Amino acid sequence: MILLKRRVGSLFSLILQTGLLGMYVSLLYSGDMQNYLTTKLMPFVYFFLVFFALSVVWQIKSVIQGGKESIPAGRLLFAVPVLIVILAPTNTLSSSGLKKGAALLSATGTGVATENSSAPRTKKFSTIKIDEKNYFDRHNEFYDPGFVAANRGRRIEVSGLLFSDQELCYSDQGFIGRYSVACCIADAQPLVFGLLFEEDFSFDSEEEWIIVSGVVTEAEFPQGKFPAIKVESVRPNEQELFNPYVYPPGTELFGNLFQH
Amino acid sequence: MIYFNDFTTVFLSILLESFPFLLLGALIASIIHLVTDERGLERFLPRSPLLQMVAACFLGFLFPVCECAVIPVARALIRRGVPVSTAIVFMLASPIINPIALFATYTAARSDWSIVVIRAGLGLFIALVCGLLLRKKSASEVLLPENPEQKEDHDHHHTHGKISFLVRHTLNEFWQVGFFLIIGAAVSSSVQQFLPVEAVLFFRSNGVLSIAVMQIMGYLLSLCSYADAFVAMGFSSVFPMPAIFAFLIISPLIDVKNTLVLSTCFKKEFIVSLIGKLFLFSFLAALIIMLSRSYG
Repeated sequence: MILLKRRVGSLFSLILQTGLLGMYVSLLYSGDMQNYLTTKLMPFVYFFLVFFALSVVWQIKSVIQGGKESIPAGRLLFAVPVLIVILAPTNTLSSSGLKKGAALLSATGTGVATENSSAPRTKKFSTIKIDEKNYFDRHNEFYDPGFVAANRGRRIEVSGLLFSDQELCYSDQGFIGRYSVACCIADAQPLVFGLLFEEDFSFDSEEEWIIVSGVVTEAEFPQGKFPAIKVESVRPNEQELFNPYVYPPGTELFGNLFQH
Repeated sequence: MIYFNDFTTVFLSILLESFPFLLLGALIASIIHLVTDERGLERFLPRSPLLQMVAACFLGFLFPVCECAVIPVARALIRRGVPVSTAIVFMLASPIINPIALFATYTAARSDWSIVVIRAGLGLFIALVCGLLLRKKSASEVLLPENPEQKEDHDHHHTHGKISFLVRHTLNEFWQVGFFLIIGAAVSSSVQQFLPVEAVLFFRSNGVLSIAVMQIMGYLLSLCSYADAFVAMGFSSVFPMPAIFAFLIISPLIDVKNTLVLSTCFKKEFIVSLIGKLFLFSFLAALIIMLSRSYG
């Protein structure tokens, strides 16, 4: 009986190994891996694939030869991530994390400066087009002290998820943002810009993927004054595939090995 | 539903990121078992305990994996005759000094070298102090006894081929440590999703409390040492810099995920005492930064 249990254990181990291997392969093949990890981790993922592929072969051989392995019940836990990938659709993060970013922004009033403030690092732009390559840097610069003073009235265009929050903005205000991801989605940092509309703005739905054009200004939000975009036009983002993530400079250390 | 979706996304991403590192650590630990005998590594180390620890600090520069991978390696080193103090210094220093983590800190700090130097310097200093305090500890005082499966693995090495031993030993380490990693990932994802930002902001104006809050955040969030600097610097507009340094220093040294992983190898009393020391020393380090008024 014990022998039979241990043989079943070997088989069960094989199923788990195959499941974990299949999870990585399917996410890579479908391109959904980029919803979880950045490209710089790909060499480690490939190492995992190679080792697990070899270990599956080794385990098959072991099962055929009547391998005996006792399986602690805790090992069942490894089935959880595999089942999530199989049963739940792949998701990107919702705007709930961006709202946390907006709350942080509101709490600090970052970047507010007077016309006379000295800010030697502040850049002056003619027009500011924020795309996925420069999102991280431009967001940081936007909240540099003195940015508004140096760039008030300059044209600015940015894409992202549109959202509002009753506690954080008035009815003619909103936010747009994306997440900066360095390694995996667990380290996603909200990068949020405040928006000021000409009149009360009605949101058709939360999580709209849009492009906003306008000019640099600063606005009085419920929690204080901070840099914002005075919106002149809002249009659906048909230029880019939906992707709420941007990557800070230096995160493609090993190159883009798997992008579809 | 949105919160559940975000929870599963974060949970999966932590596991997808950590599994390869864990496997790499398990493989290196298995290779150490395979190629060295009981006291095999001792002869490669300098005689002086202090020099051993200094060498262990910088070994991490050649070993670019993050914190969950080094724990099985540290255990393997101790089992192969490396003094406890040296192995623990290596375990603590590797995630701080490895080149990818240094580069990530430099990028996140917007090319400010002083932040990189202070983080690495203080982190290494704390690792060394912990090592010195553990100088008299023996392997049996800190390590859990080998379980029957591990013992069987080592016997297997003599009766079967080396490749077979490597695969079996690596997988056993992976299953054993990975179990706790999954629990740690679930705890960390829950904290990320459900911790109200207002609760954190409440403490930001008090210098000393803000240091403690950021230490706890660094511990609970369980971020990889390649990415934690980006998160820490994201808080730099909210918290004073000494509190940011407290996060930057504690995060690669210890977190929830690693505490659970440590519990697969080390005794409970040792883990509690190590965590206490790491919190105390990183708190003091941040306090010194605050008192010296070097940063905001």
